[in-house]
Amino acid sequence: MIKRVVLGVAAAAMIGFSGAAEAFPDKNITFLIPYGPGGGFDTVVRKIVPKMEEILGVEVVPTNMPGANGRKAATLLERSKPDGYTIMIFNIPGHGLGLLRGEDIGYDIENLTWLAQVGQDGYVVLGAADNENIKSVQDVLDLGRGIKIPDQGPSSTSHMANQITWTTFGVPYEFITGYKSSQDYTTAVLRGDGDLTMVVSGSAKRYNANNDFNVLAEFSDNKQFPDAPGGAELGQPDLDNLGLRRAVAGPAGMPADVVKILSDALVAAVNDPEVQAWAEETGNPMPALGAEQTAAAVKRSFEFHKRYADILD
Amino acid sequence: MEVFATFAEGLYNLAGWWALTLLAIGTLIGLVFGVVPGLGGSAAIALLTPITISMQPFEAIILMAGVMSSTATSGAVTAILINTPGTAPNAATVLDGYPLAKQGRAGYAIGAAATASGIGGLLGIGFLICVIPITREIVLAFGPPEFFLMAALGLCAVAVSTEGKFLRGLIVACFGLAVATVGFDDVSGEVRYTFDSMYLWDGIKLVPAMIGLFAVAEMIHLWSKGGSISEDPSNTKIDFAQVLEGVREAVRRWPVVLRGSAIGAGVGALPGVGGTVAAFLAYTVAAQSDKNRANFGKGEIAGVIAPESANNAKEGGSLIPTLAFGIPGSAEMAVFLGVLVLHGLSPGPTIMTQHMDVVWTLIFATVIAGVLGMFVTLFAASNIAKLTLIESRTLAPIVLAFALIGSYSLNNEIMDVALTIAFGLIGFAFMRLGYPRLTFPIALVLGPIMETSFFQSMIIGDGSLAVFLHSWPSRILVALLVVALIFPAGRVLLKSRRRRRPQPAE
Amino acid sequence: MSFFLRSRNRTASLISIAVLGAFAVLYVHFSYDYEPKVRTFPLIVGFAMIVFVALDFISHTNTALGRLVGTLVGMDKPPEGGETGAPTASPIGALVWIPAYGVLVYLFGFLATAGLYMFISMAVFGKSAPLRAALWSVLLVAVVYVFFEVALGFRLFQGIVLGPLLAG
Repeated sequence: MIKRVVLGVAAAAMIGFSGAAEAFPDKNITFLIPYGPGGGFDTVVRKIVPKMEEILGVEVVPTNMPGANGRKAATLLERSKPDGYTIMIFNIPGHGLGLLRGEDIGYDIENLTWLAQVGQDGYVVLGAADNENIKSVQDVLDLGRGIKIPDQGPSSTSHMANQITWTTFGVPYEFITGYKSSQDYTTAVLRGDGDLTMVVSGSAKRYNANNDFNVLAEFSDNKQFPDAPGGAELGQPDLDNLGLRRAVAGPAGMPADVVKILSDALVAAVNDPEVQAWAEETGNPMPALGAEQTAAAVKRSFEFHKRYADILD
Repeated sequence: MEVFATFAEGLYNLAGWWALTLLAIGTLIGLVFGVVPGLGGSAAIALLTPITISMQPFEAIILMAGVMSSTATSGAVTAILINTPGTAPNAATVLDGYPLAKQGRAGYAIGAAATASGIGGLLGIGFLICVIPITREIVLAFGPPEFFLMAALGLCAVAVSTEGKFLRGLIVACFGLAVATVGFDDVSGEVRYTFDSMYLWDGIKLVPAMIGLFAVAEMIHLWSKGGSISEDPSNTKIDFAQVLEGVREAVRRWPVVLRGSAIGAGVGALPGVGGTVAAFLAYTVAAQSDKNRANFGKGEIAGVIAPESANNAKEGGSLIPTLAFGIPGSAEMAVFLGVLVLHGLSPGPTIMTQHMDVVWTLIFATVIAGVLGMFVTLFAASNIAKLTLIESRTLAPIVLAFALIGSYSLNNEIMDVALTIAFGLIGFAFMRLGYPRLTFPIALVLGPIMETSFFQSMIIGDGSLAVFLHSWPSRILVALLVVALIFPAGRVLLKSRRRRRPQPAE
Repeated sequence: MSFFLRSRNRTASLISIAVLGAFAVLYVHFSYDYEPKVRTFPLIVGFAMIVFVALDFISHTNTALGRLVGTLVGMDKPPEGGETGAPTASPIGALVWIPAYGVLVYLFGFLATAGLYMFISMAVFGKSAPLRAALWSVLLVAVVYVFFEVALGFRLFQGIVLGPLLAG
């Protein structure tokens, strides 16, 4: 079975390669977005697509394909030819969550052809500013009781970040799941539904524009809140590995020249001054990485999260 | 008041031919998307998003405002003419709108619906302007316990929309609640009742199911019955005078419009509840309190006016959580949020302080588009209404084509078409056997809200039911719930006492 | 004398009760596959449905209890056969007609099916002249094509038979 897949991939790669001998690209590129319109991943793709079109000279068509937590789109990606005309944006580690839990997610996320990273963000712990009992992580440790965490649900990356963080600190926790978005569950903290929650730094900056929240900690290698303590200051340097990456990939076995063209286009589009200004303004940090660095970063992220596989339910 | 300082600037953005043209285009697109079952506000916004990328932010907003404030207006036309809600929030309108069409009074119903929509939209925006300074407090006052109670109150609409077939209404509601649990469960992260099908992972979607239950079922019925929708086409004259009569009726019934709008704006302000529930609640309240109570479900015009004023007023209401916190108040708001972010306008606390001029532009554009949509619908009404005179063998294949393609194009998913057809057959069976179909969409919308918010409430309240009485909003909702349960039950008992007579035995 | 009350569609009504009852029982059965927290809500819904279906059944019986239930929950009048009107074609025909539409869409796509149904419906089942029916079907296909494919830019499903032919 595996052998057949490998052979198939190799054959497809050869066809892809012979096709790419002529100038890539010479037709429209499909850019799969595994979410519905309107979300963070959708907006980032739609922001960089016009710049990609300028660079590549063909149309790049953002295609929303929500469903089954990314499995629907990823299955399609894996089945398409590795010729560079079908690419997709991934949530790392979110889309690998099933894999980390040992489920069969129906596609091999670790063996895709990674092209570029188009966004990356760390995690911030937010408590309500008017909550006198919780002003720092130390307060949480001293609380003497478990905490309640409003959150989206077990399939979300923030859920995983919370599990890893509070297990590391040894604080018992209970989730209040089912909120629709990070806006929704941070507002829930403000309302007092729960004690605190975690969101990516860029969003936190936006939600906290009126200083409604206390930023208890920020786990990131690219800090947005200089005053907040990081994992190292709190004695848990490992936590600074937490984070969310938006990474673009194609099917396994893409020819190297096509990879380079797409990767360069993506990086250049992301680094466009207008895109970066937009990223800054809307709180979507977009540090770009090339193909090899992205593959390495994805691998690191999975390795880090795999160490916590037994606490991810 | 600082939020009102940018008032003039917001208005200025709209002055100019280009801006007004965009607004008109948006409104017309919204009207078209509203009429076709399956296509709705969210589909229109998603489709237009790429076009706006090269526009100024305020131009994009003007275009979207046109779309958002007109879909529910024209969606009523489909509801009245072919017993199929054009967009989900028009579902309650079929209850009395379609009987009117069968009586040959479609023009009258559309006239009243469009007028109620127009006025409702204006009142909703009025509500928004009034509460802009306290949006934050409103959003923070409604947590999971309040949402659970709201959803329970919404389910009480079942009691009204099934007059005479209460038990079967409850059976269909349970069926809807059961179907709502299929798929991925946000609360537990568990996938339920999918039997390993990836299609079912995302659950049974409301829109394809509704297109089947209403449009397809109606076409099977019409096709097998023959004839036209209007039961006596040769004696029916649909002209503009009939439409005007509807306009006058909506104005004359201003208390119904006012109540409907208040409910619409209020419910719209609650994130995630949306226009469908708002319209049903407005219908429930009208049906319980109106003097022509007995006529509801048989072609009572107040049964059209109430939900239509509500589902347009909800636009203004749902802008509250959308703008103040970036939490979408309805399905189309979720897509609209993406447009705002794409144009560098992050919704949330800062939009009121930094981009208030754009918010004003949005408000004015919504007002103008709402009125424009109303007039376009009114002037087209008498012509569209002639649809009810068309022979079913001609009408059915046309409606089927648009309904099935509409359900397909929502997600480019051929399985959605199969689902629509399956629900078409279920809907037809329900129709023939006297199961009220309308409780199904209510249950499908409210099921997940009820389940999720109940679990959230239980964790928040450490497992104690006292959490449902913890705040003033929740206490008021509990009181309303008690009233809503006692009222119809009391009436049924009274009625049955009056009617008690020996049963015919075979 | 009969155990059941006389009503229109009595047999069909009893079948529907059986089907919905079976649905509810199966739903409850499958719910027990899940953890307690996950199945609480489904179980409440499922058991409520079983109770309601049972009450509906009782209200159809010609017994004292049946009549009492019927009066209390509004089942005292025979269920209406939907919106009335004597069918001119059998509903069974209509029930074949719609799934067939789905199958044809799957095989040949939306445009071909829409045109075909328009023609058959008007010319065979209606009383239109074939030419008139053909004109209408061409018109429908054109409008659908222009509206969805040209104006909105959707890609309509072309069917598993026609799709590859058109693409190749």
